[in-house]
Order: sequence, then C-alpha cells, then structure tokens
Amino acid sequence: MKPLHQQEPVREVCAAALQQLGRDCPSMTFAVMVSDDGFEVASAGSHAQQGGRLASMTSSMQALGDAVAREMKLAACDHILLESINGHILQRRIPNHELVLCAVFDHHELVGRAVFATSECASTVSTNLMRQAA
Amino acid sequence: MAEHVILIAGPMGAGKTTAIQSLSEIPVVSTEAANTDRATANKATTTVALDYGEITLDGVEKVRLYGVPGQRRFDYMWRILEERALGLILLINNDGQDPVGDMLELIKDFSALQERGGVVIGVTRSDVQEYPHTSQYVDSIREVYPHITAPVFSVDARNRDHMLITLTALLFNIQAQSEAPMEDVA
Repeated sequence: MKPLHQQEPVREVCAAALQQLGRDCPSMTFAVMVSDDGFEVASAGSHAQQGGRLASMTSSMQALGDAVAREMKLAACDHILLESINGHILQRRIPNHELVLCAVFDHHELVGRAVFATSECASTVSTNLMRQAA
Repeated sequence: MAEHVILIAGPMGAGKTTAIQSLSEIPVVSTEAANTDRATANKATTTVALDYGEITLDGVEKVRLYGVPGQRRFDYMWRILEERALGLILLINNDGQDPVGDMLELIKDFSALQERGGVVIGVTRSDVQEYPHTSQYVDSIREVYPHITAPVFSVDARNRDHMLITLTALLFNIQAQSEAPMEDVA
C-alpha cells in the first residue's frame, strides 16, 4: 500500500476539508495536513511553499506534545495551541488516523473559534476517510 | 555533579534510539511516529523530534543523551539540540548505500559541535554488511578532515557495553581536546 501522502483519495479528502476550513475562517492564512512522520498530504492558503518545512515541524511538535502528555500520564495529546504576537497556530490530531492538521491564523481570529473550526475539520476528515475505507 | 549533553546522530535506521535505550538508566523519552518512508528504512516507526535518556558515570558525571531524527527534513532539530551539546556520537549503519559518504557529510553538518567538543563514530550493522571495514572510515576521515581526531568503533547499538565504551571514548576525546595547547587544536 502507498504511504498516506501518496494516496490520491486521501489527499482529496484532506484538501477539501482544508479549503472548507479556509472558507469558515477567513483569517486562516495557511493550513497543512501531514502524516505522523511529517510528510505533507495536502495544504491550503497563501504560504504553500512553506508546507514541506511546516509539515516536518508539525510532526515534531505533535510527537513532543504526545511525549509530554504521556510523561504526565494525561494520555494522548489532542491538540496544541501556539500563540504569538501576530497570530496563532493550532494543530490537531485526526481521530483514528495517522494524520495531523496544522492551521495558521492571523491575529483577527479568536482562539476559541480556531479551536472549534479545527475540531470540526478534523472530525470531517476522520468521518470521510472512514467512509472511503468502508 | 558534572553534567554533559551528548548528541547521538546518524542516518535513519542506524540505531540511535536503540543506543539510547541501551545506555539510559531512566525510561527513555521518545517521539516515534509511524514510518511511511519504507524505501529509506524498512522499520515500523521513526523518530521525528528527539529521544532522551540519562546515564551517570562513576557516580559523579551525569550525561544527558539526546538522539536526533535521521532524516534531513528534520534538521532544525539538529540545530536546536546541538546548541546545548558538548559532543557527538555519530552512528553509521554499514549496510547503507554509501555509509562512508554519509559519515563525511554528517561530520560536516555537525562541524561546529565537533570543533567545540568532539565526535566519535560508531559503525553499526557490520554483522549484516561486512564492508567497508572500520579502517576505511578512519582513512576517509584522515583524508577529508585531517585536522580532527575522531575514533571509529564497530558497535552493536543493542549492546550496553559497546555503547558505554563509545561514550567514554567521546568524553576522553573531549577532555583531551579541551586540554590540548591551542596550536594543536584546529
């Protein structure tokens, strides 16, 4: 079987969900879906050329989040929020799949809104990939 | 108690995570992800951020061991972790496509760490692939980097004694380099 990032049906489901996320949150500047080991599956937004680098970093961040949560006996890490002066980055594991979503928002987005929208996006991807596999 | 940070680097599949598991006296903190790049290394998982372990030597020296991901796309982790490190154990799997070339390239990648601390080479998987011999690694280092001293060992990353000898050699090498007169240090 091909790796996730080379499976066209998986890429299509992820790309559609990222585009929907962009429509739901106009302040989203860039989003990328990556495999657990840091390969870009799909991306959307204005900084697409940065996708490869961000994909690897997303994988590292998620793995570090998992390691810290494990160390504190808090089970798996669901999402990570990184707030900076000019915006925030939210990354979130896709339930039941070895995929992680990373979305970059400018400072116009409310954190709560970003948390909710990425949760919806992750849930949609998970459901659609399960349907596809059935 | 003196504390040192030592980095363990090398190509994907060289045995970096295994080496830290062999050495560490605490449960190893690992950041493994399912490996989809089976063409590069046919193993189930791969390190995507770091491995972390600790060992106390002679009851007086604590060594913090950090393993870095093997793939170059994670090289930002190399740069982040090398800032705190004193020396480098470079593990090279002998069954790679160009193990001597990999070693030379990685010595260059970590040249800053080599210059301020030291480096030792551990050649793994020699039981799977006999050639090149360790002497070829030594000769290549002498030819390309004549100014550096980098001992080369054939090791099994699963063997604690092998890894302990490698680590001890690195610490001696670092000490010798720091005590050398300035004109002897490149």
